[in-house]
Amino acid sequence: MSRKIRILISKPGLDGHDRGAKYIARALKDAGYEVIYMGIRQSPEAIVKTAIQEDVDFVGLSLLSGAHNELFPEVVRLLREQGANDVIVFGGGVIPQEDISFLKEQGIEAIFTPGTPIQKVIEFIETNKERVLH
Amino acid sequence: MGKKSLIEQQKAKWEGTTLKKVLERFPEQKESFSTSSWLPVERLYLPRQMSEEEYLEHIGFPGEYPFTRGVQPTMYRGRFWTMRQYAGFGTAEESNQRYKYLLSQGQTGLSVAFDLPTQIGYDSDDPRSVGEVGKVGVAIDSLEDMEILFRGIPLDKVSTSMTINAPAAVLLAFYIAVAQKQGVAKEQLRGTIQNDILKEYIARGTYIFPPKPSLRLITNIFEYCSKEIPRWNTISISGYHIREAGSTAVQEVAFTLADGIEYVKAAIKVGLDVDQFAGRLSFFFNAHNDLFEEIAKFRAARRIWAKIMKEKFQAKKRSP
Amino acid sequence: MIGKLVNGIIHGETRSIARAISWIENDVPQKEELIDALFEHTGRAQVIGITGPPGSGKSSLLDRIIEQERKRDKKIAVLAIDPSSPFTGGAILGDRLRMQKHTVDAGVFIRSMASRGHLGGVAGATSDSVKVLDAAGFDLIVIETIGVGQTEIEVMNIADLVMLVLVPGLGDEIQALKAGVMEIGDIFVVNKADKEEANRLKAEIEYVLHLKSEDEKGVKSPIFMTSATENTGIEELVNGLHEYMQRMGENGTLRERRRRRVTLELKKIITAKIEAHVHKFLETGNNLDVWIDQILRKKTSPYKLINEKVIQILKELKEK
Ligand code: B12
Ligand SMILES: Nc1nc2c(ncn2[C@@H]2O[C@H](COP(=O)(O)OP(=O)(O)O)[C@@H](O)[C@H]2O)c(=O)[nH]1
Ligand SMILES: [Mg+2]
Repeated sequence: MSRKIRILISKPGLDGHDRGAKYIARALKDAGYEVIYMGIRQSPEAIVKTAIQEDVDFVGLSLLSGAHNELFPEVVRLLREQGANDVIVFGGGVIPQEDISFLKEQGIEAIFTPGTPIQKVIEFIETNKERVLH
Repeated sequence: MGKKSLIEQQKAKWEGTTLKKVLERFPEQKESFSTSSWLPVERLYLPRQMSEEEYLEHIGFPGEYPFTRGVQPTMYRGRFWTMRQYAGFGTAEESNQRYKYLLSQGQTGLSVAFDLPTQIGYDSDDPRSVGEVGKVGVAIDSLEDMEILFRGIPLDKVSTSMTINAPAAVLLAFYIAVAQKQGVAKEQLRGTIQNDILKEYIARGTYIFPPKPSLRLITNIFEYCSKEIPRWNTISISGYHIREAGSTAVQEVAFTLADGIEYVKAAIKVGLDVDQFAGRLSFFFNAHNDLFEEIAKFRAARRIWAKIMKEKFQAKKRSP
Repeated sequence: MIGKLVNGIIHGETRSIARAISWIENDVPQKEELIDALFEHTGRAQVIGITGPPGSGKSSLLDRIIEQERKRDKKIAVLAIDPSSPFTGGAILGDRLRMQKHTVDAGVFIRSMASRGHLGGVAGATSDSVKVLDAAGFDLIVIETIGVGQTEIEVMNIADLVMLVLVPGLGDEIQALKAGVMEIGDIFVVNKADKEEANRLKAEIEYVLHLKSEDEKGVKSPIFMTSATENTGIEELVNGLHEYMQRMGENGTLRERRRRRVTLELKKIITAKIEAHVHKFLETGNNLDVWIDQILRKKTSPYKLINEKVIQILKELKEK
């Protein structure tokens, strides 16, 4: 058995736009990763609990409703509070350019906006996975 | 089948000469072409052979059963459609300003976008509302908010469409109460609530209760409105969201009409008379980019629904 | 590192439990030491397998079972297995979507597991992961399999009791299931009992069970009718499950099963160890290539050659 990268895909908050999240989940599966799909309307707390139980390497968050500045950082904060320091958080959706630097400061390592080719997302995972291989 | 029609003969000739020559020099870009719904697109369409009887049965005239060519005989040569921009943002005050502006620019109706906490039944100060308050629509927590939202807008003059589903009963009750405070009788109110819970599970996501109790709320609304606010469209059975979530044109119509059938069945089951409520069922379809496919879709949807109502549910009255 | 992990596990710390399961899934070198260190803490939990065709409602039912068990204050862990793609090795793990209301309950642990090419309906890591959860103090551990066909029956070698979930509307499927899978079920569940044909399915199962030779101890398999979506029949099922388990304990079936489980486990470990050694031997110094040449040049014959080599392999193994 070889080491597999495990990725949690989830939507925090109340946003119901799940087409992008499902597309990403499916595409990452096709790229050979193990994807745990949590679906819509999740609390940051539930996302973090799931990430820990599933011992994922990456947490991918999707939001199109504009609540990203509040909810993405909260997921990072709770993860670190629970001692999950090695989990890499990234995200995507309808996110204005001017919010991206703030989100990066808050520990969301990459943001992918509409029109992103999946190859870019895979590249991100491939270049960062060394850090989570334990 | 007898011998080939003149057009068919000419087509065969065209294929063997004009077309053949060009194809040899410039092959087509793809082996086959299709719409975004994966329906094949032929190279050339010709007048379809159809008998007069067939035409009268399937196509007919605008404003007449089975409504393939439209629900009104004159369509927009008579009256325009209601023009309204989907709007709502921040507080009730801010949105009220917006509505007044839009009406002043010639809009003939209102279309209210609520924020997600309102659509899912949370107060603005609920912990689950963090980050979402007033973002993708207006935040309405109370009757007072609703009064502010429509302050200075005469509810007997505008028609209002509200994209609200799980808590539709509450928002409609607010609307009626605001009207009464304005001195407008509820019988005069015109508008639509989306009120289509089944597609929330399928595609849109703002459900609160499980399907069965939700359906009861919906049939209660049908009943109430048919008696108390007869000019109100009690539901907007929506294919739009299903299509936006990724379906094809065919699936859009199929799932939407299936939902429609469920609502009618549920209403009949609780004892409503089909002719009492069915005229106020409205639909909401998407208009994607394949023009001809979309035209065909709308025509098919109207015809199928007309048949379902007449043959399956024995409806007799036509919509107002 | 292992000491800390073991300590975390036996104190029921989620992060340690989760990390240990990853070690097992990834087959890290420290795995054996970890499992051995946990060994003295295992043997308390009840292990239940839940299997049945995909879509029969295993995850939904599990969601309801967890609800019941939590009312009885039991700590419960779930291992939910989904298939890995044979082409890419990727997987979408979605079972826990159906058990979401338990996510933030500290008494519930849910872990999704990809099969990673392992056949038999569970993952290669499942049985060792059960030990981790057992040592962590869960009262009940439930394994949800990928689904069933003729060969996906390995769960019976891991669980104390297997619950087979069937649903109406599978048509002749039950006939096909009769051969292999019906025999692994201790308890039968007809889920989706809200559907019409549920009673007929129950009768069919009764008939098939009648044909099946009675359990070694003459215990008759019970059949429960449930609806996970309507939340009916769940309490009866959970009660029945515990009664059945108790009877299995009293009449010795449980002891026999656990003995059988250890037998199979030991055989599996020893075979795997020797196989690994053989592979290593074959790879060193081009052994295999040299032999192949010898055979092709008719210098020796296959059995003669291998019989000599086996002695050599065993000697090496002994010296190690
Ligand atoms: C389709 C759609 C819908 C569908 C959604 C169907 C579904 N189940 O998904 C329907 C019709 C239901 C819908 C409804 C609403 N919508 Co809408 N919708 C859209 C639309 C047109 C396209 C979104 C989409 O699916 N794109 C295709 C997918 C594949 O792309 P994507 O999600 O952007 O994902 C890509 C990237 O963003 C990124 N990505 C996304 N997530 C993630 C996650 C990770 C981990 C990674 C790595 C990458 C990544 O990668 C993807 C691939 O490139 C957008 C406008 C737009 N052009 O974006 C509006 C839009 C998102 N909707 C909007 C609104 C307001 C609504 C409503 C809230 C309106 C209301 N008040 O009721 C409702 C309610 C929905 C709800 N419950 O939350 C607004 C949001 C405004 C804002 N953020 O400020 C938008 C932006 C339209 C607009 N310009 O006003 N909508
Ligand atoms: N009508 C009905 N549907 C059910 C019932 N239990 C589950 N389902 C539905 O069946 C589908 C598959 O359920 P799931 O739990 O994922 O099945 P699994 O693949 O066996 O784990 C889902 O759409 C469920 O909502 C039930 O008791 N009645
Ligand atoms: Mg399942």
